[in-house]
Amino acid sequence: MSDIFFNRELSWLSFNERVLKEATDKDVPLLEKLKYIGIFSSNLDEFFMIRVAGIKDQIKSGLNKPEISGLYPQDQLIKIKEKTKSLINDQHDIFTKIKLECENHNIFLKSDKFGDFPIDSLFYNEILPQISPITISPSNPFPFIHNLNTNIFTSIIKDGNQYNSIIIIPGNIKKYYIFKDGNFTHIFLLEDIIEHFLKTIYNDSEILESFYFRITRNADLNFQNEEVEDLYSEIKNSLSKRVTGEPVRLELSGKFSETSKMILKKSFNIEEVDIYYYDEIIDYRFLIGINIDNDNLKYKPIKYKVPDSLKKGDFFSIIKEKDILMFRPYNDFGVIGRMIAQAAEDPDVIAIKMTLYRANRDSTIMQSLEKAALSGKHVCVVIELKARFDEEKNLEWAERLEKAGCIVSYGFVDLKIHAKALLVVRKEKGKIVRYSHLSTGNYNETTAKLYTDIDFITANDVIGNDVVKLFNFIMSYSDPLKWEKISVAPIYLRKKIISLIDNEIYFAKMGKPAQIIAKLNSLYDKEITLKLYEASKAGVKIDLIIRGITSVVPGVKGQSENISIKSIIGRFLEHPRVLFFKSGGNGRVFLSTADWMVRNLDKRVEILFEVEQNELKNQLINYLYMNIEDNQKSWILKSNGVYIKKKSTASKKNLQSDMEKIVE
Amino acid sequence: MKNGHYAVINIGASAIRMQISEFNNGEEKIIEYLVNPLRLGRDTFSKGFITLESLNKAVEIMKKFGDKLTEYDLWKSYKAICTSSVRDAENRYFFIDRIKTKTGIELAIIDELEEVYVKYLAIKNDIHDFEKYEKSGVFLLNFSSGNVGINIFQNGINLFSSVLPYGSLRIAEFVKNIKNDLKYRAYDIYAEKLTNQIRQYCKNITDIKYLIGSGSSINLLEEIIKPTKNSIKKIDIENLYKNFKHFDPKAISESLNISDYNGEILLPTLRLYLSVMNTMNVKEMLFSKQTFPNQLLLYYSKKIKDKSVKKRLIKNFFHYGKKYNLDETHAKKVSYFAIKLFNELQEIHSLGENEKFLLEASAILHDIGYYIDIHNHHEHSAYIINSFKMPGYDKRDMKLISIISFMHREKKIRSDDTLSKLTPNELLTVKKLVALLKIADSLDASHMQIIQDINLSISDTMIRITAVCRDIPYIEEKVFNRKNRDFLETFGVPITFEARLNYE
Repeated sequence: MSDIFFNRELSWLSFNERVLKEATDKDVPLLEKLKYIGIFSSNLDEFFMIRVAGIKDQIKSGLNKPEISGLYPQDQLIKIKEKTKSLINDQHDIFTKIKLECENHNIFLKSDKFGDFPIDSLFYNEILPQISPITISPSNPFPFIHNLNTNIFTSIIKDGNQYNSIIIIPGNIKKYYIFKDGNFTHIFLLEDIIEHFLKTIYNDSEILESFYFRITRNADLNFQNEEVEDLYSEIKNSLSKRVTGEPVRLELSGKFSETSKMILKKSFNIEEVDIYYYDEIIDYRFLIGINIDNDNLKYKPIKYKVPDSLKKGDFFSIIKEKDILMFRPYNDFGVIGRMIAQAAEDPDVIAIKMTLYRANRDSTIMQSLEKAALSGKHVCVVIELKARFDEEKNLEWAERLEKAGCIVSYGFVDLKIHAKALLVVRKEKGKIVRYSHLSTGNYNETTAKLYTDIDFITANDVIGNDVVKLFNFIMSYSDPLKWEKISVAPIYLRKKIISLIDNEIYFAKMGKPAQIIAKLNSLYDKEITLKLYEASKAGVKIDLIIRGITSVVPGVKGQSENISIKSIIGRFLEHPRVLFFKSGGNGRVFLSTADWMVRNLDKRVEILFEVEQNELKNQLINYLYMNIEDNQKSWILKSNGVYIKKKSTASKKNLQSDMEKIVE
Repeated sequence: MKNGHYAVINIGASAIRMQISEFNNGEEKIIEYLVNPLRLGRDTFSKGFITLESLNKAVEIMKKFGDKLTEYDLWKSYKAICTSSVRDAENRYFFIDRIKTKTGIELAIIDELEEVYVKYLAIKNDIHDFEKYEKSGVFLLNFSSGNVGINIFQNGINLFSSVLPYGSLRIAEFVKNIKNDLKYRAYDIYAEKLTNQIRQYCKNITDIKYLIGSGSSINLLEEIIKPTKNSIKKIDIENLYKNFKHFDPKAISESLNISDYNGEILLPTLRLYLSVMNTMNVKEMLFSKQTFPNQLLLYYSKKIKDKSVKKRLIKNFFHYGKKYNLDETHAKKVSYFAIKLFNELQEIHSLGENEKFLLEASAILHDIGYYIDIHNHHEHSAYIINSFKMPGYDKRDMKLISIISFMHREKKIRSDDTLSKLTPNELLTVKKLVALLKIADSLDASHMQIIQDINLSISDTMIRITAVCRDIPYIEEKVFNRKNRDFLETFGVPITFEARLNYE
């Protein structure tokens, strides 16, 4: 492997490892630890459905080229397997440990005390009607197995003949049941209940073996075809492909015979390298949503703050006075919803435009837009139908909004629209005044409470004009024109970043202050990595706060000794992209929706804009330094690719809890 | 002009553009500017018509522009015009009808002269010190995808004004089947043909010291040459042309990082600019970055006005007159008497300033037909006047001037085809102006300026002209008495003549 670039997949697995390790952090409340175990599983599933599926596709197509770190596709699969095996063992050990800790608090995860509770009623009335055992025979071939559903494989003897049977467990069935007995809480897992009643299901047969299995399928939808004329119909049709995508991983748990394993391998056309073995639970995703009643073992609920300036008066006159910066989730994201609701009812508002990447199903923002359109306002919504795993939800919104009279645009076939922008156009005393909201986060009221993000609201006319151009571009009203304050991918953003780094190199060479701080979700890009090395060699001090993957190898003498990289994993998912360039003096600060990756800079519509107002700029610089100084949730990346977490006990600095305290 | 919002849509040869502007206390603010590439010119210039496929694409774009009209509530405040790619297409009316049916947007074809005039006015408004250039000689070159618009001014006179079919896309289409290595030869011929035409109309082209460029080609040159001021040097254009003369369009667009379309039109653009600069013998070209939609918007919203239009037109009438050996002294004298009659008789004819100008123009031009033949010269005057291209002047008004001039020798106004096409109001105006012109013309019937001035006494029963003369005006009196009948029939009051020798 090269010492110039890290491998993308291994870097990602390392990120997921950090997520899992949050469940071992003594400062994380016990029941919250469970969530990290669930998120780890969910992340890993997506990784297999998209990334591993992609590598397998690459092998299938005969494209046997090494990626930038030098690894060939086959080598990557071997290394992924190696790392994943170790991670799922860790996951099991961590879960077992937490399970024991929970028992100290009278919480019994994966309880087997069936006799003490009416589990039989539950099984017969609710579970049995939903599951369907299928016995495989020449007239009953191997059934279709859905992506990510855990099922049970059994071998049975009936009437003297041996059969194989599969109990299909539907994806939407409840995966756990919580029963309380005084101070004791028992959590029964669906699979355990089914196994408990296995003899009842096969009452006329002898069960020789039974084990769980789960299949993961390729779920990447590809819309690169330029001939696609109707994106809406294309995506609606393509969603079914996700269900029937090629299998990429087989997971097995329990005791199974080699014969049974061979049957599954053959049925799914899967090789040994794609099989993963578990001692107990395969799918921990249920832990993300589990709600066990014990507030002492959870995070204290956050108090969402509304900036003082927005507490009274109408939004528009306040925004006109000064730009506003808000930090999610510490600031109440509901403010944006209320702003849109006010716009929907305001007779002076003539148009509302927004991008929609991932909205929640019961979004009040979308409801306000519906209302505005119904009242005759000009409402345009650019819905990204290709937002992975949110395609169906977005299709639903598209239909609803169109019905209300909104102009709904689906963007481009080959470019995902990841920019987050809202524009409210008012006619004030005969003049057009534009209010822009630009954000690093989605218009999603659910994730707004789970992700950290930064919202910027302004009535600045130049920015407003740029946002108009952005909408005209993504709604195909106009070819892209020159933007004054906003840089837009895939047209200018990459160039802008390179030129900003080049400026720092220039200042460093001139002996002037040169520094870069970049907070990103991911940085995986050959050109930018090499440019950062060039900057490091020129003496630019570079602090990268990258939550996820990176291609940059820090701290290598003669290459990157001025680069340090850390990753912050905390209660909330760190999601903003904030950039600081010293620029030979006081520095310039930018917010962006774009990670520094090929997909973001060349294959998506993303934005980057400068925050120029001193007060807000200082807030952001302070925020970046809080990121650098965090010594409780930070993992430091070493040049060998290993992340080390060292918690300081002396002067504790915790970005997220400190932000919660200081945000007004 | 009124405060408010206005929109202009321009269907050009290479793109459909829209601009929405806000006007507030005379200040313009561009609210939106939209560009959608659609090479309608490719169809028109190579096939002679717009294909249904292109038309459907135009409909889609226009629907989106219709959304913008709805957004800003501008369905009553827009102007949508098309230039050469639609104007020159055989199926232009089908195109316009289809756009109207499918999108509700009403398109109008902008007349070549109006197009060139709008561009002139806007540049005049945009370029600092334009009056100075206009006085000492300025060549306005609007080089766009479909056409080359030319306006040459000197001493306030419009020496040449025309829209010629040499647009960059038009040339690119023309040479598309010629081998890349040889295309430059075709550009040479095209450029030569253009400059020959210019020289033909403007013999003293080298006296014109200033060249001002505009149109979409300027944006392209600016993008590549990146001038620091609003001027481009000939040497830069020359070098660029020399370096890329033998490149194919793809290689040009890749080398210069410009669009494929711009790669295709760059060489003809450079060649034409060079040709004009060589012909004029200038070393640099000033330019205006105004877009055509912006110019149109300023014009149609009446933000820019041509305050000196009448003065310039009068100068131009005399300039044209020179070409036709017009008796300028007679023209000036008749014009003087006509205006005096018009002003003094305001109560009787009740006409306005525009009509006064029609009279003044007719008084200058009525005898221009002498150049062809003294007999029936009024008939020759009428068609000569009708052929004048006067940017900024309404074609209809020019038609009226030609009719009035025709009528100055007719005993009665005939109800021929031309006149029957006039509205009753126009017909009445013509009658009134002809009656006045006949009187004015008779007062210098000898073309010898014997009558120096006139005084009028007006009552309900009679109008008496007392002519101050340097000699006895025998011919004038005779002609007056023959031509005053129209006056009586039109205004219902007799007009009489009395000569008084000018002595003290």
